[in-house]
Amino acid sequence: MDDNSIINLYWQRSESAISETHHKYGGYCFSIAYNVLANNEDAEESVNDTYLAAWNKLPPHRPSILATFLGKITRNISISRWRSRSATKRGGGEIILALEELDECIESGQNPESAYIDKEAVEVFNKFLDTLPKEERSVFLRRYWCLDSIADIANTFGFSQSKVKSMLHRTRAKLRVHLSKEDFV
Amino acid sequence: MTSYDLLNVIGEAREEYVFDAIKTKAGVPQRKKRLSLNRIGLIAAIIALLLLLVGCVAVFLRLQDMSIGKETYTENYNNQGLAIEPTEGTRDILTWGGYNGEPMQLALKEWYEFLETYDADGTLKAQFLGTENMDFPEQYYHIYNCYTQEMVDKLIEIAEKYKLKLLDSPLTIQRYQENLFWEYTGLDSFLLSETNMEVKNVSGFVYTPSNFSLDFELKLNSSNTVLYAQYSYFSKAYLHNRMWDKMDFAKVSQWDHTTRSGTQVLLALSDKGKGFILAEKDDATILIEIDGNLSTSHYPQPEDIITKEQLEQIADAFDYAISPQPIDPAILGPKLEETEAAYQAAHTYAPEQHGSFAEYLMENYYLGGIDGGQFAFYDLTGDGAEELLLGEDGYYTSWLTMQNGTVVPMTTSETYLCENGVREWVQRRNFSSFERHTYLAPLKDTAAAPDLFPDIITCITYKDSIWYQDASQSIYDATPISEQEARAIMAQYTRVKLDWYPISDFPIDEQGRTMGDYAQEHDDQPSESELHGIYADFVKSRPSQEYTHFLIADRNGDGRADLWLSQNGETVYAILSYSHGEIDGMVMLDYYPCEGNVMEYHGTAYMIGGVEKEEYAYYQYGVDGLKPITYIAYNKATASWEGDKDGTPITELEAMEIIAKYPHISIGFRPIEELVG
Repeated sequence: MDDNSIINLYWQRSESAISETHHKYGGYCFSIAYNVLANNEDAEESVNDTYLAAWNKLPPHRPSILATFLGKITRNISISRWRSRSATKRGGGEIILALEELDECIESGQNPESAYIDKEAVEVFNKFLDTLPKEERSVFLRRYWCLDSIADIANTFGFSQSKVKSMLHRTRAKLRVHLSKEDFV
Repeated sequence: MTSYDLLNVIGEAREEYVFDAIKTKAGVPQRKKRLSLNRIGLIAAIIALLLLLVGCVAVFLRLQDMSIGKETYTENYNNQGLAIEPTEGTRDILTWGGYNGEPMQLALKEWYEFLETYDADGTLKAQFLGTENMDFPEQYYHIYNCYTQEMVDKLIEIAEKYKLKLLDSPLTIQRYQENLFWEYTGLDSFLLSETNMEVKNVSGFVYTPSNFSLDFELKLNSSNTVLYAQYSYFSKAYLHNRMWDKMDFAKVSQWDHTTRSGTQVLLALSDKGKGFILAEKDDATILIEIDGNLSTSHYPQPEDIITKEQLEQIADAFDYAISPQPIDPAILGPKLEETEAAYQAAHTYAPEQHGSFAEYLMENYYLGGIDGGQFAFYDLTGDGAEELLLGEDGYYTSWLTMQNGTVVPMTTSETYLCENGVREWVQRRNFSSFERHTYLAPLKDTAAAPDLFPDIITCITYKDSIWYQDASQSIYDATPISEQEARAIMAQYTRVKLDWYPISDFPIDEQGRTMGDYAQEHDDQPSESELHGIYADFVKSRPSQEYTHFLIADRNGDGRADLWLSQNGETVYAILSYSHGEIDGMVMLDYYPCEGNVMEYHGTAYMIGGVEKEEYAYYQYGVDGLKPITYIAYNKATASWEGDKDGTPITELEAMEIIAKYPHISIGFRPIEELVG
């Protein structure tokens, strides 16, 4: 079923919207959730919460790209769930590795964790993305948006893992320079 | 800003950029474990509550759920068969019937990991294969490939750890024993009662009491297509022996499907057309594998493989509610032995006894071809008694010798007799400059299967413009030599000129009758309607050939109306001739009739290393059968055309001109029913 039809099901308040969403995007949402949480049960819960959130947002929302809409919900829910765990129980999903890698982009001893998203930082970040070649951008987002493992990214793009690591390292270095120029680090 | 802040910022990446990134996920994205029905049911229930409706959502497992590890592999060809820079890919090792965390998967994972490191250099395996000395029950070797007691101990340890039973030696089910399988499992079929498909030619293994893995042909009656398939029924109580497969999930589509009978199954279809139907029962797993590659190529194009819809239709046809009765090997085993003995008795070849060469020739020589054949006598074996050589143009293709008063026929191909009893066996290939001359030592002992393992003096091969010499017939270990050296070696073996006579002159009795007389006596010249009946009886006697069309016509001008058979109404499968009370001829498989009595063979050639060539070979059809005219091939690995089997390059234009020169024609095949009624 195409995305518009699925969105229409939500708007018609048809329960089959959930099954169709699950049929098409269940695995995708689960992979994002699992990448963050590294736990099957928690990832399942996050996916379930995603469906419920989508049900509550559609309508009035009508996303232009259903996949990113759902993925973003899953990602946010999963990260929140991960943060809600006590520090000792957070586990070792890809998010841990991703955060360590992203540490390269910022100065140590910066501000403590913020509970909000700096809109200016988002704008600067998106401008940075504008400067990247498509492939490099996609690899970067697969790692830090989808939180996919290096191995999965390598498999998907047909690269060696060392090439993916090298690409990500280069992109992070560029991001650091970019953020530095804009006085974010 | 912290890394966590940055992570949140990244979460706000432009939608289109994110979409670009996620759409690179090929097929269904990875999942680590199936979503449980109750959890999805819960969310559905919440929504249903919101709507005051009741709902449920279909969910099932994924192939990823059965992964126990990954490995890298190298691809040398792309999907078109084009040679590419070696590309490294990753594929999963997956077990069928064992999901994340379940005993079966854990056990197989442990066993797999043990095997990965055990006897890494293969020393113990080599020792075992050298002696095949088994100090343990043989099923550990035949089923689980154990070749040391240490492996057996480990296997038992793993099975006990996960509370799984080990399979015992299987019972083999041959095609002619299929009915016993159905009888003793209490099953009627794998299919539901009302389908437009048939399961045929079942054979395979039964691991008592309730595991089995059977090959079969699945006939789709709607399209008259036959697909090769395998049906496996794994009891979850046993550590099954279908250990693991290797699969690159990026090249496999998978999706859930609810069959018409209401069973949820997982369907998967690889880019090579391999289809999988996986159904989970409480106590067993059913795996049906379908070879859905309808082409002859290892690099099928999308239009060459079954569609997802077809795989769903196939899945719909199967009965997943089957519950085979446990089989007692003590009961089925003897039954199988009994039927096997009966089958072997009915099919054992009992060579006919012929007391003289004449007697043998009268019963076995194809009288329709008597005009071209020649014979000669020579004492090949050096025992003082002459052998009868049959051939033409100075070489023989078969010979008859007498052993204990009985004729023993021996076959060869283009063999010349040389001085001192040496024999020169010549091999050539159509459309190629390849030639091989194998010089065989004189025969010594004909009492025990002469020529089965002839002593090779030397072998000279010409291939790809290089001459080789070797004591065996392999060119891989052979020494390249110059043409001059090759010619000099071959000149050492001078061919002997024998006296050859027409086979029709061969004397068959003391009254002076010859094979020619015998042939004339048996040339019955049936009428047109009689010939029609003879050909009809012949086709009826071979129902398994599934001919769909026929033609009775004299297309080579030899005065005989031949029987042309086709399995599709377009290409020629066989051309058969009735003569002197016998039917003989050429089985051609799939040749296209072209203008000018030319026949085109069009097929795929598989070369060493994965290279495929799409071949077009043209033959002139005449009184003497097929004579090669020309050949072209499209080499998929180099995406170029070749003008012979040596790989001589030609342009695409030249290739197209050759194909255009021999347009396919219709020769007026008629439905086979008009012949057989």
